[in-house]
Amino acid sequence: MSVTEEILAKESHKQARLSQLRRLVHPSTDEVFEVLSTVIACVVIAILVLMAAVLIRGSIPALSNFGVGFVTGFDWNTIIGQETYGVLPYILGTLVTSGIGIAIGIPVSLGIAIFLAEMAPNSIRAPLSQVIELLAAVPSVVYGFWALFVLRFWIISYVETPLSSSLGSVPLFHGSPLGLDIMMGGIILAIMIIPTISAVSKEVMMAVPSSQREAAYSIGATRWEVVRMGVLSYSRSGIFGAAILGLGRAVGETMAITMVIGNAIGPSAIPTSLFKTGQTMASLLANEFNEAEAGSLHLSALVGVALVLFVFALLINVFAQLMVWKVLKVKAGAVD
Amino acid sequence: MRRFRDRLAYALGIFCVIIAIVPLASILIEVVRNGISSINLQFLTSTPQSGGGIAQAIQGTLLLIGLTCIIGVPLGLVAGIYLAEFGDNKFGKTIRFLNDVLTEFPSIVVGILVAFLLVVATRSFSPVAGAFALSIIMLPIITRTTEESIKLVPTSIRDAAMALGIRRWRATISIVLSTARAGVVTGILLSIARISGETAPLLLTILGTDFFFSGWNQPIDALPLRIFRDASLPSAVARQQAWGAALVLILIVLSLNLGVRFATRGRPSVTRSRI
Amino acid sequence: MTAAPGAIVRRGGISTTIFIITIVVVAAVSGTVGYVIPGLLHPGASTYTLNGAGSTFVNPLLTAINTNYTKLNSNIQINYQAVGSGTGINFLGTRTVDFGASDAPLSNAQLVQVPNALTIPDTIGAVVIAYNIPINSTYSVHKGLYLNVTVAAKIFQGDITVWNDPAILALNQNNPNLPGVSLPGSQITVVHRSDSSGTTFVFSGYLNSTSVWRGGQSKTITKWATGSIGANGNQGVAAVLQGTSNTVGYVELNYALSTTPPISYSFLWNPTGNSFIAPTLSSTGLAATSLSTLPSGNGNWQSINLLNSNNPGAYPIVTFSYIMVYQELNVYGSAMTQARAQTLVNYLWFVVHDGQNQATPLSFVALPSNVVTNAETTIRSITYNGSTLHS
Repeated sequence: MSVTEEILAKESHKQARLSQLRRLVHPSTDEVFEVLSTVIACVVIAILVLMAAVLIRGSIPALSNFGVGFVTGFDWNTIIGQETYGVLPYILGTLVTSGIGIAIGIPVSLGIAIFLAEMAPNSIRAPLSQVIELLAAVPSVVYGFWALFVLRFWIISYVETPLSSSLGSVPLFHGSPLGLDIMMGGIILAIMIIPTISAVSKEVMMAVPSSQREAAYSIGATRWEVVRMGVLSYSRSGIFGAAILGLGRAVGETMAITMVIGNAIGPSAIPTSLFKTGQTMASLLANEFNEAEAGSLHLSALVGVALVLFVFALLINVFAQLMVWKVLKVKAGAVD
Repeated sequence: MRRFRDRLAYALGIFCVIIAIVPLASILIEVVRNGISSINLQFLTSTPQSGGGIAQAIQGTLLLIGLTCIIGVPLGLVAGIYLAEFGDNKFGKTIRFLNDVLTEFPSIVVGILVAFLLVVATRSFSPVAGAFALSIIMLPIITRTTEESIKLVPTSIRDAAMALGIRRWRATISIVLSTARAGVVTGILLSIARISGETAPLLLTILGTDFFFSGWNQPIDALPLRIFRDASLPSAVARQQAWGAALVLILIVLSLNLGVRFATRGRPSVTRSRI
Repeated sequence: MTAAPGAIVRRGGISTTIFIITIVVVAAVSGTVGYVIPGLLHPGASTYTLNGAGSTFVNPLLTAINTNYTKLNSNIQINYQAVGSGTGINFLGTRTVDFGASDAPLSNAQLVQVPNALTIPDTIGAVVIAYNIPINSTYSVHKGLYLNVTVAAKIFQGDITVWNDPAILALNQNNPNLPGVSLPGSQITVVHRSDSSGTTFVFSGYLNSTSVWRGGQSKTITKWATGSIGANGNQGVAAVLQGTSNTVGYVELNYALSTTPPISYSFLWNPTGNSFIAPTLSSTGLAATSLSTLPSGNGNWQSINLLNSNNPGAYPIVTFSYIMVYQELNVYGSAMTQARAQTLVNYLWFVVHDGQNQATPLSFVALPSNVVTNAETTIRSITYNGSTLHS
């Protein structure tokens, strides 16, 4: 290369380097905008990570003290000198009440979703959907309040007492039907998750391409058969995802459950009968968190319970999202 | 036979809808029936000590809503803009996914997080701690509805802005966002309805009180907390107060919900099911 | 994602936005108004708010005292939250409240968690065993069921499960309070405190005086009968008793008396006097006469016990309730000022003097003079930055 060309080449390198530096020091507003919004969007990650960190750090004393026994034990004794903490009864309480909730909630929600998505006349579909979604708008504490003073007596008279008198000898129905028990918890959870499951199922069903339905209609199927053949099998995983979403909601529910579950502690909290008082992880935290002394083993045990609940909710929600996303991938932001 | 099954399925569908509507109707009827006798001007403007009212709880709820919006709305808006504008890569997908996971998270765990970080550290119950907890619940909702509203804006608008030489960030904020503002505001109002009914995080962060706001590091009261505490009292007077508070809360929540749904009828809706 | 061109044309768009903006503005304005108006109503005077939390046992009395205090001192508000003794002392330990209230004295762990705390008795009260036993649709068993500590322990831990158990019937053969009543064979459901409770501490202390009781004495007991219902606070237990049939539980006397209709409660056996004693103001007061000397305010109060007094007319389940405060108030840092500290001390002085006038009508026993003297010494020892606040 001639000297001139060398100098020119060096000069253009320098210019390129300078303009790179200039962009770092004086970035264009567009780039600032992008970086800033990226950082802020990471707040979500920060929150989840922070939660995990705080919960893990707080529960280390309890976990190291009891090891695996923390998760498998069922004694809960806060008396100093005799302290043992085992989370199993509350895990079972959460699972059983949520299980009852989705056992009742799934069929009802599916019925609503099928009706609204496939069978209802167009004129009432939108208003009826809005009404069902209003169920989700009622605050949890109002649900609990209403359950305590209205639903409870209805359930005692028409559900629990007949069951108790006829099937009282079956272990599942042991105990006095007082309405402050696991069955009541399951029922209120079912009511609260119906809007969630039905709305997502309806969305999933409406995302099924009409070609599926048309194919079924073309061979002379009735409305129900179209649903069964064309829609349900196609949207199975999405509906499953909706059910898991409902489960996630049920697991995390606190206030309504605390007001009707009966607040049992330790081995008495193991759900052996529908009419027994129980306790879920969330209700235990609501009841005891404020009274555990700072730095005590009791507080650490409660944080451990919160950690277990956190892991449950995380796993359930992630799993549910994966299932729902698979089906709704194409339809993000879809029209109702 | 096939037609019978079809009719049966239809009937069962209607039956399921009725099963869902009956509790809703019962709640509304009972709250109105029991609470209406409590509602008068004195109830709404006096504290329990001075006149047997719940004014401090109403004030607390409004204050919490305001503070929570100050914290949560800007963050949610920017995060939603990010996802809509730049979020088509793997990173954006992760954020979107985690955001949806955070949406229905157990609120008691959120309360514990804030209690550890703020209440114990500052040694005080405060509206700020309560607002931080509620904003964690509000953030994912606003992020999602903002993103979806922006995505509904037709690309022709963005193209037109580009053609006029407007910078991208400018186009997003001034033009796209204002086109999408109905959806964004809808999301904000629905999330307000949701957080005004949240109780669990407040249990651990604001303590509750019988008096009006008295300082940024002092406890405050809120409607759902009041309902929870009064509901367990054996006195008929307290229970009556709880019904009245429940009626006020339901009115706030339902008017926000019904209001936005009514106002945005006939448009592409961003109110996805899981709010 | 292209929407139909029609979406760009916003029919009625302006009115929608205005509607939505109006709601938000109205909410913001009402919030601000609610904040501003109380300040406007008391111009010039600075309002002090003292925060306390704890015992539900003493709540009826403290509520009455606080209302009265605010009437006399309109610029001072006492915010007392009855969240249970355990939570109250916990909040005192984290210094989020100015004073705590508990029916149980500070435990060894709490003496460490809340260093240099003072114990000030504020009242004496009774814990009753209350029940809801319907005989038929119109009649429920009235107050006056006879019980003793052994039978009570057996009921509460689930050894006795029905009302017409021979042990209960044996005690009530000649009970003048239940004329011609035959106790039913229904299942008993125990109601206990789900929160960390000073009332539980006192009641379990009573049950612990018989070797039959397996649950020990503590603010939280885990050996309640299977199927027992946990309720929050004295008021929660009273609510469950009132609303649920065939239940038995323990509450402070005032709660049993002040519900409408009042909740029935038992009369308990006093071995010294060889009779069943009803929980009344006088029988409760008699338990306090057997007081030996009291510890100093900063001492250990765990040995102080008014249970099973050997006065023949005394009701067996009686207890002090205490207010706990820090001895040196500057531990609150910037949250405490000289004026607030003075307000707190004045308030405490009021509670143990004029406040005691409100005790008797609420079925609490006013503090005897030797207890008041003890409390006065303790209050005098409270300091802020080293200087005492009450001479």
